[in-house]
Formats: sequence, structure tokens, C-alpha cells
Amino acid sequence: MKKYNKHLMTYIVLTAIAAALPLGRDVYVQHLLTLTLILAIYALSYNIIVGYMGLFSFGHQAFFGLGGYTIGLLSLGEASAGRSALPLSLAWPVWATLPASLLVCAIAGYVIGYVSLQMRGVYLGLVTLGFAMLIWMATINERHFTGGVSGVRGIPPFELTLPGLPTLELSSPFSFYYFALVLLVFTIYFISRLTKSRFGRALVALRENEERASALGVDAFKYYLMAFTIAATLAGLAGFAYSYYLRYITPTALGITFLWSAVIMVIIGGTGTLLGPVIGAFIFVFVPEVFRIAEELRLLLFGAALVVVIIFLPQGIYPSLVSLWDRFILRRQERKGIEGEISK
Amino acid sequence: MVILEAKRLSKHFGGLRAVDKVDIGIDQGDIYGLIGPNGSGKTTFFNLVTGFLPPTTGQVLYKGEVISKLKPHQISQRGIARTFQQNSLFPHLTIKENIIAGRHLKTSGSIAGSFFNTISYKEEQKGLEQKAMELLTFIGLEERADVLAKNLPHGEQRILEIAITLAEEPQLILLDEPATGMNAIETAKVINLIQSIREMGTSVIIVEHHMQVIMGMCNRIGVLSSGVKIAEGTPEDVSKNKEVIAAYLGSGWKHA
Repeated sequence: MKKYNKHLMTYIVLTAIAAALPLGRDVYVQHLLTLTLILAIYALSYNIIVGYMGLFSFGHQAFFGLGGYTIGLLSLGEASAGRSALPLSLAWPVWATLPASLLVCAIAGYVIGYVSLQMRGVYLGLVTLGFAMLIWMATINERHFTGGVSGVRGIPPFELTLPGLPTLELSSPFSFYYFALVLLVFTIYFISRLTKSRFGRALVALRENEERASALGVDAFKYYLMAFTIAATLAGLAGFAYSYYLRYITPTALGITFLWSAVIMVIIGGTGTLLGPVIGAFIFVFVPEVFRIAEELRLLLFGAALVVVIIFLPQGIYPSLVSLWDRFILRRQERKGIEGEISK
Repeated sequence: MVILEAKRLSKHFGGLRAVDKVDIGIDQGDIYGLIGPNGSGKTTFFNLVTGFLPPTTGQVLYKGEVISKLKPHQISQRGIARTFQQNSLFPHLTIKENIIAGRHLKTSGSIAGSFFNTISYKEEQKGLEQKAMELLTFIGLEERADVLAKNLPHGEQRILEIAITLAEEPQLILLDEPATGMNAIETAKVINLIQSIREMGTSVIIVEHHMQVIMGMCNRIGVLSSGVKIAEGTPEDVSKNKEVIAAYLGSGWKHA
């Protein structure tokens, strides 16, 4: 019970620090921070597949993009539809686009998972990649429906009207930051409870030893499919936030760039942990800004960083930090113990 | 009462008849020893019974139900547990977590229960911890409950593996060479453990090369050689059987 409270305290402190981060910064830094939180949700969703299922999917970007596109296409109104040159003018409000995008991603995740989870290893990676490329190509080619290469522009700002409350409009990076923070805290809590449930235990057992777990009665396919669907839905949540935040979405969001970003964030941060992908997202957004280098060099840099991390910190940055901290505490306790003995 | 029955069970890998028309019946409460030279089809037989391999021909019946078309997790749901020949634990989980993994079929908690941290979720967690500690005390590993499984010595890993199957509370346990690579003390521990499994009323099929384990414990023994069952009976009968001696020592030795 004491341990549980300690964890809770850690998370409350971390949330407080995160809430204070954008205060007094210029708009550009606030923008980067908001982007970090949205990408962190995306990285956490990918981490379910890589870290908790122990499988490699190369199609996760499709769910991120699908979530974003669902919002984009459903929320366009009369005025903005003209700008995008799209025939749609549904103008759905947020409370309708959110469940719609989650549902689209859940269904896509279930269908793609159902087909590809029959396979393992590199074959799973290839089939999921194939599905994602298919969706990417379709988005580029079905111009009349998706806006083609230029994507969907003029998405209305995030506006939530609840009966009896003033309208919540998030049009600045600053206000959107706190909305993204709420989503991120929810995602972290959700995944943390997921891993502590019977479902999460079964997933980890499968990751550790699939043969043994199925001999213990774990239906591998069922659990993998459920986890894959949940991961797809959470990626859709990230895509939802991304689309409303930037107020446009292009096929890049479904493309290979967003696959590598997920891989980089999760592996550099630390697979199978809750805070690793968040740290990974922070590094992914901020380190290139520090160097102020071009978009093309960014991936080059991260390719190199990935190699370095895999060789020197195979578990990722976060787990390495944790073990460093543990060692520090242990050494301090030992020193105290020795000092205590001497003073006796 | 017969609980497990293999009827004309065969598994062919191309031209190799790994298991060939084997008939075996296990009674409730049996400790049935399955022996035979290396490559005689013992592990293949286990894989056929537990659904890891589909039989080429023949059937496996469990309590009268045909189970040879079911998947491993479905067979496990019916109350058949097994261990594997190679070390087969969850290496990066603690010893306690390994046992808890074995309780998968005995728990029912939903994701929602965990999300809202409901009373029933908390109670199930408490029950799991308690059960795991009971089992660990039973096998004498309670003090190392939080050690990672991969850090245990070989003998204790094998014993932990049996404990995981016990956590399932099965009616039939298939042990694949539980005493491999063990010293005399550890072997004695395994024998004790299997004895207490029998006292719980659970039936056991055991594949083992340690004759000390097989002869001292089993009430019936079946002998496989090149996939064919060549003998069956009490330990005394089998150890005097000419065919069995020939299979182990070779039949040409008289003429040498």
C-alpha cells in the first residue's frame, strides 16, 4: 500500500511539473511542448505492441493518420470545405468526431490485426507495413475524397460545448497543451491499469514465452488481437489531437516518417515502460531544435542515435536512468550504514 | 475411471513415424511413466496430447471428449497441464509472477475492474498473492519470491516450473523430464513433489530418464521405441521385459 502511494505521489509531482512547463515560454516552445505530448500518446500506443506484446508492427502510422483524417473529413464545414476543395461539409462537432475517429481506428486495428497476427516476426512486420502503405496510397490517390497530397486543410478549431458550461475553445498552443496533457495522463493511467489487469499479465506472459503461456490456457491470438486493437485506438486518439491541434492533415501523417518516429521514440525512450515513450517523444521533438538542423538531417541524426542507444543502452534511456538512480540510492544507503556503524 | 485415452495415435513427419498407432489409457490417480530411448516419440506424444501438434491419425480422448483437434489453450482449459523439456519459464518475471501467470484460468478480472480499481479487483489481487505465496512455501522458495526467474539455479527453475502447473490446479499433469540435470538432493525434492501431487488426487504422466524417479514412483509404465509402444505394465513387469531390455541395450549383444 505504501509503495502504491509513493507511485501515486511521483505521478502527481510529474504531472505538476508538466503543467508548469509551458508557463512563461514563447509560443514556439509552447507549440513544441504540445507536439511532444501528442507524440507521447502516439509513442505509448506503439509501445503496447512493441513493449508489452513483444511484436513488431510496421503499420502503426496508419492508425495515427486514420484518426486524424476521420476528424479532418468529418469536421469540415461549408466555409472550410471550399478551401480544401472537398465536397464534404458535415461540420460534425467534437463530441461526435472523437468517438467516430476512435471507432474507425478500432475497426481498422481489428481487421488489420486479424489478418496480420496470424504471422510472427518479420512477416508480421511486412504485412502490417503493406496495409499501411495501402492506406497511404489510397489517401494520396483518392483526391476527391481525401484531398490527395495536399491533404485536408481548414479543420475548424477544437470547440467543445457542453450543456450548462461555457464553450471550451482551444485555438492556441498554450490552451491545447493542457488538453493534450489531460489526454496523456488518461493514456498513462489507462495503460498502467491495463498492465496490472489479468489481460496485461497474460500479454506479458505471451511476450516472455508464447508457448508456455498458451499451455497455461492463454489464448494467444485473442489477446494479441485485443491488444493490437487497443493500441490502434490509442494511436487514433493521438491522431485526433494532432489533427485538431495543427488544423490540417496530410498523407505524411500516414506515411513512413511517422512509423520511424514511433520506433525511434519507443526504442530510445525504453520499451515496455510507461515513462520511456514520453521521454522518447520529448527527445524526438526537442533535440533537433537544439541543433537547429534541417528536417532531412533529423532522421539521419535519429538513425545514428538509435544505433548508439541500441548498442550502449539496449533497454532505452528511461530504464537506464532508473537503474542509475537505484544504484545511487543504494550507495547512499550503504554509506549511511557504514557511517552509522562507525559512529557506534 | 479412465481420464485420458490415446487411440491408435500416430504422428508422421514425412517418412518418419515419430509416434505410430499408440494406445495408452490413463486412470484417475495414476502416476504413469513413459520411457524409451532418445527419439522414441515421448515428447511428440506429449505434444499430441496437449495440442501443440495435430495427430496424423488417431484420437486423444479426455474424459470421453475428443481433444485432438483443440488448440493448446483449449486443452489447458479442460484441466490438462504440462511442463516442457527445455527450461520454459517467464525469465524476466519474478518467481511470484511466474506462479501468478499459472493462475490465468482461475481468475476472471476485467480491464474495467482494474481501471476503476474495484473491490473485486483488489480482492482477486490479494487472493493471487496469497495463493502464490502458499505454493512458494510448499516448494520452499517463499524467501525468493521477488527474484527474477532467470536468476534461479537450474534445479530450482525446474521445480518452479512444476509449481506453475500446480497453480493451474489441473486434473492431469504431463511432466517432461522434470529431473533432468539434477543432483541427488534435487531429484529427491522432485520425487517428494510428485508424491504430494498424487496425494492431491491429480493424475500424472511423466517422461524421465532417471530410473530412480520412474521405478520408485510410477504404478504403471509404458515403453516407447521408435514411436511404437513395445511394453506396458507395472515397474517389475517392464524391467524384466525382453523387448524393453533389447530396446535399451540393443538385441545383438548376445551374439557378440
